[in-house]
Amino acid sequence: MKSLLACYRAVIKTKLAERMAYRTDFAISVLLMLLGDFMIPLVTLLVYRSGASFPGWTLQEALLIQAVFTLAKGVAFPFFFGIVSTTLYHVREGSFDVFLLKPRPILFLAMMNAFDLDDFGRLISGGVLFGLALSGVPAPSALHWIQFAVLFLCSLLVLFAFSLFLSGLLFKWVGSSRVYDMFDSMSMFGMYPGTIFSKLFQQLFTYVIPIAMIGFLPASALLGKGADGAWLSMGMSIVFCGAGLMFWHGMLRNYTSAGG
Amino acid sequence: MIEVHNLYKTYTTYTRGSSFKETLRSLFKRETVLVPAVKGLTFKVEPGEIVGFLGPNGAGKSTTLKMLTGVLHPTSGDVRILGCTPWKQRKRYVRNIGAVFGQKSQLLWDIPPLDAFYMNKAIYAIEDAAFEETLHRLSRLLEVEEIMRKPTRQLSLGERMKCEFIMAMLHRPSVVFLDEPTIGLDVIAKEKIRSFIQEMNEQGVTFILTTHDLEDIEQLARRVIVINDGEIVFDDSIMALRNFLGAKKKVRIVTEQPSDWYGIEGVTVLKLHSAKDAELELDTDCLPLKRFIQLMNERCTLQDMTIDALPIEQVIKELYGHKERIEKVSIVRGSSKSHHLITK
Amino acid sequence: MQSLRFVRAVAFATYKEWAAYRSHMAVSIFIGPVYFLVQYFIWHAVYASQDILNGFTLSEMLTYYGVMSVITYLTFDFADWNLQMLIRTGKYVTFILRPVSHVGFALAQKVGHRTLGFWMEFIPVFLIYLFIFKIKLLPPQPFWAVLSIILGFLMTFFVNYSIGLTAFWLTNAEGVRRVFLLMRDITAGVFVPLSFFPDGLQHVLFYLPFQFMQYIPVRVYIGSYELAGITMSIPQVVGLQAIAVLCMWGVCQLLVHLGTRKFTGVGV
Repeated sequence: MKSLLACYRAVIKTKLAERMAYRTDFAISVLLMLLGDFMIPLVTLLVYRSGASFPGWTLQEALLIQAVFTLAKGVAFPFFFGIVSTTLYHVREGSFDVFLLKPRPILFLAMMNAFDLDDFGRLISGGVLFGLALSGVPAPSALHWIQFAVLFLCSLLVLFAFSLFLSGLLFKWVGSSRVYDMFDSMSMFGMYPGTIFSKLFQQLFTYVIPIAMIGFLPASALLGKGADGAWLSMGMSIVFCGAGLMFWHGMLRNYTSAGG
Repeated sequence: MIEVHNLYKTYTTYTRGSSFKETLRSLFKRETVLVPAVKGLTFKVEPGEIVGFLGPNGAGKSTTLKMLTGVLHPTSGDVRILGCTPWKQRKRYVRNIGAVFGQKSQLLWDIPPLDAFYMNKAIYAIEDAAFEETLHRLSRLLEVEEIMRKPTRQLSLGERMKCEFIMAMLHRPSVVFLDEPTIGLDVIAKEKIRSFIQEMNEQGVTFILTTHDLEDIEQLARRVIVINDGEIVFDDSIMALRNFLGAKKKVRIVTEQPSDWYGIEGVTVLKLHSAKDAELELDTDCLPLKRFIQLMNERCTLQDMTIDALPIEQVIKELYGHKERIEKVSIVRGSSKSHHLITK
Repeated sequence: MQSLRFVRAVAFATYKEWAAYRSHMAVSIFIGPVYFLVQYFIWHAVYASQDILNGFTLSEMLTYYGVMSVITYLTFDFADWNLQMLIRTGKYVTFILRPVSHVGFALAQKVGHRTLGFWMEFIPVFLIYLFIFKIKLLPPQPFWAVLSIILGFLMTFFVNYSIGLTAFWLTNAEGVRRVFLLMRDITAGVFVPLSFFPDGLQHVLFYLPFQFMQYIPVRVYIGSYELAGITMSIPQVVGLQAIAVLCMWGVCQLLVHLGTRKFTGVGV
């Protein structure tokens, strides 16, 4: 028992020492993630404060969409979205072969490697936003919560699919950090009430590239605003994810056959 | 041309402590620790010399080189190179020096070295005619005329190193500083670089290089300065370096009949391969080589004999082990200049 | 002239370097319009119930975002990232070893980089906004607009470069630098016109260097300037911008001087 405690203490000391080395950096990193994720909600706040609004949506409701989006990222980024940066780095350096040499599914290895402690800061910011937004709307019923939970899972699926598409791209488009810019720009469509977009875009982002599933659809369900086509979109999310997996493995095959 | 006098450099770092309390306290207050890297270096280099700096890791070689190139301000001391104090008149000073700092590349990764050469042409304000001539000469000498038109990322390390050298010498500097110039290169590339340095030296360029590669030293440097723990422990010619361990030689001797080597003054038996085959250490201070050979002929019939200087690694290890300056009374063989080992 | 030859040589080398990464830049032709498309829908929805918002009509709001988007392609850089990379890896030493000021070098690099950006990003996106989105993108006072953009180019550079210079002191606090960058982005008016911010904050923003980077060039381009209730004529605000650029240049030089003193050639 004593040795276990001693061991535990040693580990804590090491972790603490590690964090001490970059103490400012870690604290600021978390703080910054919070600030960064608050940007778009801040802009929404400023717009509403000026007396304007999205038709049919109160400020809290609009913020909830953005909160759900951030929350989804808060789960996705620490656990699996990091495969994008892993692929980006390793393919560029030519060290991706490390994964290919191990007797395990490569995607699994890449995801393990991609685990990022710092990204949990996003979970905090998402949680804070979520709490704030939720406090300003009537409490959702249990049914709404269940619907929300299911759709939130689909949201994670969509984010997973995106990480696969982006990561797969990087096998060919070596070292291009602009994939993040591409994702950020497209994900804007999921941060606002779908009703503001034209019919064409609404359908595109609900059924074809289900970006709306990341923030808008789960939030709507929670608010009892149940958007039409949520069920179909759920199905499409699964298809999208499947497509992502196929794409990723196809690009990987391409990469390995070309000799990396 | 290069005068260094009493050069000191002390770094300031911070301790973090290892106990829990100390680590926590380090959040608010840190203790400074002074690390002396260079402690009172003094030496001179004449134009046209090739000087090699040797020393174990952390000895202060790189720190010294940085101060000589103007990159680092010393804590105290004087340096005059080409009439300038490097860190004080940096912009004027660096126009006349070249430097290749190991892995710190001046080339641009995605475009050919040739483009980087033209960039340096503008930086050093080299005249068109002079630039073309120098570029042509250097690229021919280093055999990079074809490859310098390919993007840098497509070149091997050896090819990149050659281009780095060209970058450093396009403006025809009179002094060139090299920090580990042959590190990571294959045998052929190393040879090419070394012969290039020799060729340039014959044309009057002074070279200061730091290295761990003893072959670099043996092939290039006529003068060696060994730095250990921030101080010079040896400053003399390469011959003197060899003779440091007292003019000893290694002799491998094979005889027709079994022979006995013990009890001869000046001869130590290193290894007996067999009764007819021995490795000896000969101290020529005690027993001159001529006498030794005479002795051999008297005692036995020689079948084979090889005489070698002691491997330089041994000398270096010995010097690295020295923390204090070495006392050596005047006998220094083969040293034509007046640099002798530093006396306490 | 010597410096001109220097700028041209470095700019040209940088231009060629980035031309090797054409696809990176070409992506902007997709990304820019996508962001703009979202704004397009947002403001159309918002303006459904009113005609004027904080002094902007719908058309003016869209013009604001359109102009902000294209001007960014002319003025942005990542001098801060490049510089802190050079310092952290120790490669900064290769500039100390040569008779070149890195500030000048980096600025010349930006000229080369943005020249490529002019063709690959600015022109295509400009045309998309003009013909597909039908945004009013022609400046009423082109001379002042160009001048202000040039000043914005310089201001952005000096601010970013100064942020990068903090790497001399904050060896591993990447985070602190990111605070500056975030502040810079918010206060440059990139996400929303500065007139949307609370009055008190607007007053503070007036005195910070950030409005001179993008907000003023955009306003000059559109033809009217306003912040914190302060209005100025176009020549006046451009004059103020010029003074700000001079001040920032001074700050930059001071930091370079202090930083170079500190630099010890890490790991060399």
